[in-house]
Amino acid sequence: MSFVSYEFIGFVFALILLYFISPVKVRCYVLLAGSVFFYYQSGWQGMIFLGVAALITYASALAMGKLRGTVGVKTTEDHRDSAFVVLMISLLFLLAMLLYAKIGRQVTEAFGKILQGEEITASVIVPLGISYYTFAAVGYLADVYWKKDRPEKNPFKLVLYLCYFPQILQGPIPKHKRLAPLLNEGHRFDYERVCFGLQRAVWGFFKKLVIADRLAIMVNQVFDHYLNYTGLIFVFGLVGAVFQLYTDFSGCMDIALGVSEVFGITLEENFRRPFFATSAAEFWRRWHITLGAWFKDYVYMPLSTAPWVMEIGKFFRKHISKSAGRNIVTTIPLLVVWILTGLWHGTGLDYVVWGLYWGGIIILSTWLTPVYRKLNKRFGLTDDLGWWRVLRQLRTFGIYMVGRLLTLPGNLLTSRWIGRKIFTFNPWVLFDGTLFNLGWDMKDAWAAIIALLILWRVSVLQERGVQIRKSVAAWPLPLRWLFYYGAIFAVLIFGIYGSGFNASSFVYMNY
Amino acid sequence: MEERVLELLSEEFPEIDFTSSEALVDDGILDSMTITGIIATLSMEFGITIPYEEIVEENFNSIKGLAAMVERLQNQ
Repeated sequence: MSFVSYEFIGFVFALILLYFISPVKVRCYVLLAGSVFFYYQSGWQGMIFLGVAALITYASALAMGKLRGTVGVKTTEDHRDSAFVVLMISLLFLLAMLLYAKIGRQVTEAFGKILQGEEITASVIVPLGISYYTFAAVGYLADVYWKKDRPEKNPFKLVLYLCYFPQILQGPIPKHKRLAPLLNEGHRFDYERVCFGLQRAVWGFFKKLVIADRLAIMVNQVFDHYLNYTGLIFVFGLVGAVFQLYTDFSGCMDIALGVSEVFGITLEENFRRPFFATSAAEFWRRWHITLGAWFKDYVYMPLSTAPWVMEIGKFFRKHISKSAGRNIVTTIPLLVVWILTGLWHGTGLDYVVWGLYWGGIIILSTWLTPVYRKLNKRFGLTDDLGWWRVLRQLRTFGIYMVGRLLTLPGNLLTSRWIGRKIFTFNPWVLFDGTLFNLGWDMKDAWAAIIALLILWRVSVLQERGVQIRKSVAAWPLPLRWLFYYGAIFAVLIFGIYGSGFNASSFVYMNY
Repeated sequence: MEERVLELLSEEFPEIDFTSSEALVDDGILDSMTITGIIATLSMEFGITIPYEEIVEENFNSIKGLAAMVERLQNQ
């Protein structure tokens, strides 16, 4: 069941009704039943994966809790080494299931070719949202091992944490310690909160249906038929692709966070207006925030404190310089994180290169920070200079565009081909109507541009700290309802639901 | 110990005023890369191993917290 379907809207309203008419104590079980029903719609095979993952996670966490003395009989004994073995075994099983879903088909086909000597087509079950709930489970288990969280004794509550329906398909990736108390507590009906949640969901539908799916028509036309295009068309297509991905993913997050807010469960923000970032590192603190936080907590930080990394740091400090010793301790985990981030998004070589591209830029800027600081001081460039900030924002956008070019076409050879053709001089396409003939017409193009301008204005206001929903709530009643109806009708009228176009799938649902 | 830690970190990270806040992490003054740099500096300078469990806000929010962590780990 996709977020963008009448079934989903019906399901959400039915669940809201059931949730608020149920006794407060059992409301978390209503959410569990709803979430299991929602996930079941994607196929019973996926339920088996989810069930096995939940079972492993539940049993391992309890076992680690007992071994480390955080659950069960009060004891001062801490069997850390045994708990570590439990952690490793559970992670092995969880990651094996994830790898099966991610690369099972390719591996089976490769083995089939070796063993049978001919091409075979393998069929592999890919459970929806497996990356997201596996990461949620791994984070929880690691926190229990490090005693940063306590094991959940109620198996049903753990299953709810793993499969809570607004977040299971595309995140945000939750942290058990923060989310579980919100899920388990029965929330009372709050009119303002319900209105705010629904408004945010409508804003998400606007981003997805009015902007992302409209831009997708043009982007697919350009990059599916790239041999027919050249020069500025690719620049136009890439800019469209960047905004398409942003509005698709962040729109989905607005729907997820908005729906969850209705139930009184505030999920973590996954986006904070990333195109206002002035550096690559800041961009990734604003884009897919919970994935970055996950890698920081469970890969970057543990690796930074690993004894072998410290030994390398000491070597650099002794033989090169103090700052080299410090920088290498930052660089090694960053490199690992970015290769893994690339592989998380896709298993092809293009995604590895994409990860190295981002990692390389961030590592290089870390090493060059003292040089930048000196240059900025010399030329009087400070953060409060408006034009300097805009220039750096444009640079970050450019960096993102190049990264998008690496993975959008599907293979690096095509990316390289487009990368060369992009410099062809053809400014006349801006004026001869070509831009309105890329699978969409002038009306579509203008609708997308106007919708993007609305998004930009809203983002500027949010960046200034304006709470738009609260401001609207203070408007006079008729004006407020005119606005609400206007927003809903804008989505219904300008949303893309044309025949032959699949508006149901979100880009990040495949990860 | 507090003075020694402050002197060391101010020398390594001249752009950061470690005395400006008692909530260096919570206020966003220290990002994850700076925290890693601090871990590396303290580990190498004081010959300690900082286990992952010690990387919590309380220990990194102030010079006082950092100095207390170094002392605790030195005595282990």
